[in-house]
This record gives sequence, structure tokens and C-alpha cells, in this order.
Amino acid sequence: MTEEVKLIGAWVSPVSLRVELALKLKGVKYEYIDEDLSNKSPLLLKYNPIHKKVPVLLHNGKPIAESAVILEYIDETWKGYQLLPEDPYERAVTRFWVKFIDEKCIEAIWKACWIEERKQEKAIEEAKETLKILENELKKGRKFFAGDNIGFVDIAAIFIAFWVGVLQEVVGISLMDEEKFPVLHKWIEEFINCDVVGENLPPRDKLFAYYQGHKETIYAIASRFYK
Amino acid sequence: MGEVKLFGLWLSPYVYRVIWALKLKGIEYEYIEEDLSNKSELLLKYNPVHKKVPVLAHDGKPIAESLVILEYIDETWPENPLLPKDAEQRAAARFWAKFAEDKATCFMTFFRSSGEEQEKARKECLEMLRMVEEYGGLEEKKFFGGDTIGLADLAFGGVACWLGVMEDIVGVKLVEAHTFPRLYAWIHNFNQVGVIKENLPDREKMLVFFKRRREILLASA
Repeated sequence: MTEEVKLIGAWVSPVSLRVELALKLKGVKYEYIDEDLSNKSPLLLKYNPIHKKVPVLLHNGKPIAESAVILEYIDETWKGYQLLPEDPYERAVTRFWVKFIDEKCIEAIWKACWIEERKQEKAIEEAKETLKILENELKKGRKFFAGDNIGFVDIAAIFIAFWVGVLQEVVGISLMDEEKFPVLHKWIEEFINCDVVGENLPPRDKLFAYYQGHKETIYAIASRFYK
Repeated sequence: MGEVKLFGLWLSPYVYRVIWALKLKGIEYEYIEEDLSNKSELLLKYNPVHKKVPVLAHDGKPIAESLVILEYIDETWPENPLLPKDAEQRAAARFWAKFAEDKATCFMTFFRSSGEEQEKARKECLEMLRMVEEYGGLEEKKFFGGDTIGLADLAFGGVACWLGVMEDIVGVKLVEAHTFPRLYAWIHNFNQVGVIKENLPDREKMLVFFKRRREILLASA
């Protein structure tokens, strides 16, 4: 049976990129469908009616949503490059950090970028706290969160490796300066230099232009959300 | 089996997810009740990032975050599995477990607020429950896990066992048989499962505690 793999994603989305990196590392051939997030397709709404978000993986027509869930599915379905370690304890540690990145780091960073000015100082401090925790985790001496080679946690942290730099510039704040986060910066350098990562990142100036162009919209949404 | 310790709190649905998993698999463990206003040194050492319960320590190695703990338990003790073998079904279970986790805050807001804020939270809770009712697959099976409870069922344990207490205290029903027939049936079935029935916090104790808690929260709002 020929296998059909499709990915509904968005070039601006770091969580969509997580899935692409995983598929590329495994050498899985897939068809990529780019979504216009301001005008969601019937396909996306059909295959992710609950969240109506990217990424959605379609494997032989069956949809899987939520990037962390998709990555576990990819690791279980296709052999080859290992995204998660074998050992159950190491797997638990991996899942812990992915959850931390998703629920604490990314949330705090996004909030710090877009929250109204009078609340921003506190939000920036909170975001830096989460990054400090990651910095300390990396200080344990590994090249990547996963060890000598990139793994699930590294891929999950792509937002930190690439998006944060762009966002800092767009909104004019500093979250992650090299002096305070030397280990994180070293990790970013190594991570971006990996072929599979470097070759699949969106062009920096295009990403910058996107956020620059959508600034007012995002600020408006943020002001309603972060009451 | 090794030495298994669980650091918990008597009324936490997150802690109970882990208790249920351990009991389902017949794993012996030592339970340590934490006082959150005076956290033990061991808890702070084992979960320095979040300083929360539950924490499982297996032969001295700590794991935090209830869903992460559940997956660890399932991989370490494979009897009475929490996840099916099929990758697609595993993905569905993880999806719903994550959904239960991510959407829990609206229930907490519903409980601790009043007036406009509570009305907004109530609507969000209903929306969340509507998603589960429509897309959770409960029209085809007894539990999220099929014939027996699994990861997603345990993740929704809060809805099965704690929501009723909240509804009683707040005086507003969110899940009713005619509005959410599938969920209503699932709640009933979940509460009939031996391991669940035998392992729940005392309802009276919970009512007293949460009633006082809500009074304090509303007064300070």
C-alpha cells in the first residue's frame, strides 16, 4: 500500500516547523499544504474542528493534531532517526521539558512581547525566569537538550532558537541577551547550524516583515486576552 | 518493582490520576501527603522547577507533571495498559489528555469567580464540554480508552469526580443528561470502575473544604 502523508501547516508557525523537522529527520516524504491563518481552509476546519489550528498531520487520510502529539506519533510510526530516547525515565524527562517549553516558556515569551506597556516589565521578568530555567538545564553539559544529537526537546524549542530573536526586534525588547544566557546562545548556534534545521527555517527577513506587518493586529488581540 | 513514592495532596485531581494508574497496575507505593503552605525539602528537591504535586519518585528518580508520570508508569509497568498499541489510537488518547489538561483553567475560573467573570468562564466550560461531547468518540465506546479506562479517561477524572462538587457549591450545573448525554453516561461509567470508586477523596470533606475556599476567594476578589 502506498503511503500518503500530508502536513497542513503555516510557514510562520514554529509548531508547524516542529513537525516538518521531525518528518525530514525520519526521511518521510510528505505533501505540504500551507494555510493562510487569516482565512482558514475547509480542509483544516474539517481535520481539526476542535482547535482549528495548524499543524495537522494526515497519514493515509487520518488526521492527527497538536504538534507534541504528532511528534510522538511520527517517532512511533517511522523507524530511523530517534526523536525520543529509549529509556522510560529519559523519555519522562524529555516530555517534562517539552511541556515546560510549551506551557511556560513560549506562553511567557509571547505575553512579554505583546502585553500592554504598563504590564510589560513584569511579563519580561517572568519570561526571563523561564529562559533561565532552560539555561540551567543546558548547563549540565550537553551539546543539545537531547545529548550529542538533536531530539524532541530541541525541536520543540525551535521557537526559542529562531522566533524569539525576530520578535525581540519587532517589539523592541530584550529577553535573551547573550551575556545573561551564554549557554542558550551557544545551543542556538549549534542548533541552527544543523543541516535539517538551517535548511528549513523561514527566511528571517520574511518572518520579520510578517510580524512587523501584523503588529497592530497582534497588539489588539493581546490587549483583549491579557486583561 | 523498586521503591515507588508519590508526593501528593488529598484533594488534587492531578494526584488522583497517578493514584488511579498505580492502583490499576497493582503497584505498591508509599504516599506522602504534602502541605502546600509548608512544602517538604524532598518535594522542592524533586520538583525544583514547579514545586508542585504530584511527583513520583521511582528508586529515588523523580518525575513531575501528572500526564508525564502516567506515560512513565505505562512504559515501566505494561500490565493493564493505559495506552493502546495502535499509534493512531495512542495519538487520539494523547490529544484528549492534552485537551483535558489545557482546558482545565476555565473550570477553576468558574469555581473561583462570580458575576460577569463567572458567566464568561461558564460559557468557556460549556464550549469545552461540547467539544468532548461531539468529537470525543464516546458515542462508539464506553470510555475514551475503549472498554476499559485509559490515559484520556484518567485525564478527565476531574470532570468525572470534582465537577459535581463544584457544581453543588456554585449552584450551577454544567453537565446534565439532556445537554451532554454522552459525557453524562461516561461520568457515570467512570465512577462505577472499581479502582476509581475505591480511590476518591472524601466527598463531605471536599465539600467543606471547597465551600470555604470559594468563600475566601470571592471575599478577596
